Amino acid sequence: MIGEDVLYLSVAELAPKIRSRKLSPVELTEAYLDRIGRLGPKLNAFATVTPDVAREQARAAEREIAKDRYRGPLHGIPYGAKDLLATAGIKTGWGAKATKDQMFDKDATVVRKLREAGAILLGKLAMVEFAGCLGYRFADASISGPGRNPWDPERWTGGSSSGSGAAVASALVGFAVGTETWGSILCPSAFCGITGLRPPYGRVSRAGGMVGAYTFDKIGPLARSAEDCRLILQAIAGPDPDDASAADEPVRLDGGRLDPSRIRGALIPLDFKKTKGAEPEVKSRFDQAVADLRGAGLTLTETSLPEFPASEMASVLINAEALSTFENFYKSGGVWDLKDPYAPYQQEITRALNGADLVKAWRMRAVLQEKMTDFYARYDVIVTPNFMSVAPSIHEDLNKSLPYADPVGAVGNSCGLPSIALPCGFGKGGMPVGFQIMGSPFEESTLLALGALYQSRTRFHRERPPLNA
Amino acid sequence: MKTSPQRMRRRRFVTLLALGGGALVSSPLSRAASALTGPEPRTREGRRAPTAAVKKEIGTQEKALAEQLKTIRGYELSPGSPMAFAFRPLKSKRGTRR
Repeated sequence: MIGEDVLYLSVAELAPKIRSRKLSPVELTEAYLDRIGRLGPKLNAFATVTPDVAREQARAAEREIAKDRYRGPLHGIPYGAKDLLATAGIKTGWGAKATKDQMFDKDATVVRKLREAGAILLGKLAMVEFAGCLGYRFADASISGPGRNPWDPERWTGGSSSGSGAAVASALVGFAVGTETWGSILCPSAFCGITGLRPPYGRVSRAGGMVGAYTFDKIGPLARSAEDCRLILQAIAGPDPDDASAADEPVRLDGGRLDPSRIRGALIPLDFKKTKGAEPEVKSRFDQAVADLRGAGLTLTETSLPEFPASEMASVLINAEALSTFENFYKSGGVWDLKDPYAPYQQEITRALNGADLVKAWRMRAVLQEKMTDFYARYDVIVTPNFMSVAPSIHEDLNKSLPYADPVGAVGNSCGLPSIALPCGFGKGGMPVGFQIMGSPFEESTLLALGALYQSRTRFHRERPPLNA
Repeated sequence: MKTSPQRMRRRRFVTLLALGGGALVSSPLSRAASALTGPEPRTREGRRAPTAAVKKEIGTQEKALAEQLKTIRGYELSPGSPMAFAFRPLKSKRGTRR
């Protein structure tokens, strides 16, 4: 049987072994399925495991590779898809009781693209109900239960791509595909000590994905390295006639060498001293990451984001879009089956929001985009902390355990900016700490190259949680 | 990001479908509509009465929204500030009779 060392290899490391037939996709798939059987339920990582599909796809990959029909670096690599991406003939439950048994007859574009790249679907990964778009206060707001962190199962994985974070960190999959409306890729990446890429809005087709807040939703990889994120994004990015929002901006992800001295970096240091809930250990790890980046040749100038009420604006827009998205569940009463006790009241809570407010928020969003366009005329990337504390307990009220705001996330998600989450050490309780590098629209290749550079000089992305498998 | 007129022409408004009792997915899944199991309709009486703790939290969230709205309403857009969307009428698919 294939051992844990192989299951923790990155896609970039697995691919040549598969291509040269030193590693069998069938045996690799069996090894992941065996590990999923032992660890998956302990972590609440999967909504549905698909062993039959996985074995069939693995056999097909093995046959093709044996005939020298190698499709590329994802060929024969087992992965998991967040359970809001439609999969033909396999349940797509959106993390909620009201939709737990729903079935679609067509794959989401991203699932189809991965199938065409030869990747092997191990199953659907657990998530926060409706991707948290109606709000949630507790880690157990999911039909799969709370996402349990492989580094300490009594702590949360982060959300809403909770299963994606847990499955990658515990080597239940070779990689995962998650989504982010605001924080849902970066948060589990930070808390689980993995690498995640939030692509720019429009880079990856959302066709067949659950809509949360339509003008904020993005699909992206959670993986073991920046290089893996590049390989996965290469396979799933690009225009799609089935999604009008999928951009036809050219995808330039050649993985070429980067000269960091030519990158103008903006350092946005958050105020850890004055921020409630911020942990000094996280600041210390972030400071070291900044020193490491400077040591690698990156110029970083300390500055601040443009003055703008981005959090308020983004909250109002996401709230309004999500209430429209899930309107039918309010009409039918399906919201009463949600685990979050406050989600059913969101229509009432939001009564004070009127049409003029919404249009104003939209106009403000355009102003913020202009401000950030000016900002990115002066800088190429922003280096800033990801979360200011490590993963909280699964039993705590998240409003209390994560009391601080996310101004960078508000700006990034409002403007559709890409960001890469990178692990940079460990904080309280030996839990992972991460930071992020955020770029301008459709410039994610710079982030991926910088991430790869950082990871060539550090080993945090190689660390494994102490699991009893 | 500025959008070129050429791109605007190529863009089309994506059709979003309310599937059964469900929420929204993007258009290509329209054929799956019949396969979707929507939630059972409920009567108004089926609602849970909010507990005191829930009522308190609703109040907290209403206050948070009020603060957000105060900020948005207080934000001054400069004269000539762009509108949020560029609206364009759709031409008839039949073409114009001469």
